[in-house]
Amino acid sequence: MRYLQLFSLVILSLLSTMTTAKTAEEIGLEIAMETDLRDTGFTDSIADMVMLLKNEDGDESIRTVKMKSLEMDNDGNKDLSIFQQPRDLKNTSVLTYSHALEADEQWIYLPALKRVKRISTRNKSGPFVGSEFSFEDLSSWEVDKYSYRYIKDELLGDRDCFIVENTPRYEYSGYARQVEWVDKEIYQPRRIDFYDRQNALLKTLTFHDYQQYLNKHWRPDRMLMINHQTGKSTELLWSDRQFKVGLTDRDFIPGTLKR
Amino acid sequence: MLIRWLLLSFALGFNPCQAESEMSNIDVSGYIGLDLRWFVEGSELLGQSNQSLHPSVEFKPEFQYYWNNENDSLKLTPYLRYDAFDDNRQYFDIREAFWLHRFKNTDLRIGVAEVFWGVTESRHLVNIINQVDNIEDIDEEDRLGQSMINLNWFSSDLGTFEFYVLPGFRERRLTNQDGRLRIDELPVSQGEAVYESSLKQAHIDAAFRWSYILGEWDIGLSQFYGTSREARFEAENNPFGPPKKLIPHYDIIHQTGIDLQWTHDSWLWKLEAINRIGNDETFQALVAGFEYAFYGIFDSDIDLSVLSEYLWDNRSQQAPLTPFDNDVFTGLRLALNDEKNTEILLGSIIDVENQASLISLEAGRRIMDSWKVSIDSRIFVNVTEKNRALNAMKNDSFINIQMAYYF
Repeated sequence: MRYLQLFSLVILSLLSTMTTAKTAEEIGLEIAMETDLRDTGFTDSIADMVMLLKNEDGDESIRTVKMKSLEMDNDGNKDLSIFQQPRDLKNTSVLTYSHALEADEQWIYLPALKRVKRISTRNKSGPFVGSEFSFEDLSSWEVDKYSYRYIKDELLGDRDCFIVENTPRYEYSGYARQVEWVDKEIYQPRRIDFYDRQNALLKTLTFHDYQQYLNKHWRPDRMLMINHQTGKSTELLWSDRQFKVGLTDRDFIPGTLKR
Repeated sequence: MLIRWLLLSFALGFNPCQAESEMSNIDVSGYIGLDLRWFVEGSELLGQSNQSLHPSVEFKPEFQYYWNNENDSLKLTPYLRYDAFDDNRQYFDIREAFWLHRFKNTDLRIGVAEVFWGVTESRHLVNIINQVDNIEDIDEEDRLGQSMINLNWFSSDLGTFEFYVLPGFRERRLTNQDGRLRIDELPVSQGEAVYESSLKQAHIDAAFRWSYILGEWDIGLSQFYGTSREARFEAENNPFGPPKKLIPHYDIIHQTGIDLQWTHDSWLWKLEAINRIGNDETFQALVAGFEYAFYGIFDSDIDLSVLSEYLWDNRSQQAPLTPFDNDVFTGLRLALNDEKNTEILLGSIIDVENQASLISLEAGRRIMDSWKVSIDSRIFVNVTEKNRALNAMKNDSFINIQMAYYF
């Protein structure tokens, strides 16, 4: 798939030199493929994530999660989230095999019963542990998951960005569309506006404090999701990110979730 | 502090190359809960306490120590229950105490541990490694620690292979004559258990499981050989009159199990089945059903799931007693998906032949960051002598409220 994307990118670039008029869809797809290309090859990564949930009254609650990811050739990533907080969920783990258009596969480990349960991934738009992030917001990004349409260039703060409209191609998304500001220099999102199925503005996600790892992969230290319809927000703070730590398939098998 | 020191020295003993380890780390977690269990009706059996309100405390800390880049770990999980009135529920156990070593594609675990196999909700047929703690609850989800040598081999092509050597059989925990939720009108004399194996509790059991993921299918096949976790209860031979107590008989069994789940869209289709050979009898049992979820009902974040399972068992009257020979389980699970993780599960298992029903409610909600309140209830309806396995419990419907602090 990656070679195919590369190939299509080359073809698109050739086309772009031959013809001057590219469609908005072609430009949008080019940007997505460039984003994908620039991040390929991270192999595996670990990180600590803190989620700060704030409700409309300003009450806060906290989640801390250990995240592990494995990059798959020709498929979506495998991701493992191990909860540290809230303490009643300690060691509860969620394992996800992401796919571009097919349904994801997901297992949850319930430490009280030592039980691993396969769960449905139909619920894309449901909230993840009571946060403003839904399951689809946290599932791994793949080029094929969306169709793209370039809108225009715009300065977001001091960053020069493309604005691209993403329309989910996978089933059961909670969004009619997303409007994304892609940084022209690092090819990473700076802001995404989420529109619900009625096409009303639902949420805005902003990305802050990007760091570069292994001279290649850009990751934000901080992400902020604001729900415009409820006034609630969730902030994600990342720390101790490491790449190429030597994770393999065996670290992402339901049977190994039991600890 | 002592435990921390013990864990550390234990760990160092296992690891002569401590200097090489890149990370090491101690993790302490667990909970302490205050329970109030209320038996709604008075007791009826001879010798049974008439105390209806039972306050108790539950303490389950977990100590985990990692080293060698988390490839080695030690885990210790003591368990304490102390009931103000019921001495059956004044109990200490080691639920886990094991060393786990991760090789490239293999996990080796030595010590006392807990293992869960299976997919269904109403009954856990294939789940056989650990003995049941029938005093904590009657849903067979509370289990005693089992000593084992366990090797799990992971292959991306062939699936997961689990091997168990299980020395040290443990008797099922059953309530004494004075306690509620007894299994029979006659008390069980646990000290006098009879074993088919001449080695009695020293018989070494063995188990194996293969599990495989094939797209939307999760498949498990298992085999167990050893002392049955379920006992047959036989009335004593009393030469001077009617029997006054039951003697547990633990047979040597061969049990083959299969568990299957098909996960498609909002559907989970589940099946567990066993074939058991023991005490000159072969019988089969099955649980099969589905769970269907309505996500985001009424434009909210709330998920409502409908569950139904059919339970069938063709064992004879001479085999260990089960209430689930021909029963239907139906349930509703409500998940609010709020920041308090509020969940409610309401279910009932109804006997198709005599309508005896076991209704259960399990609800939980986090309060503040570290506290959780849970309500559990088991209610017996229409239970008569026709339902031998539940008849002695028919007056023991209860509601349990727990406030737990997690650390």
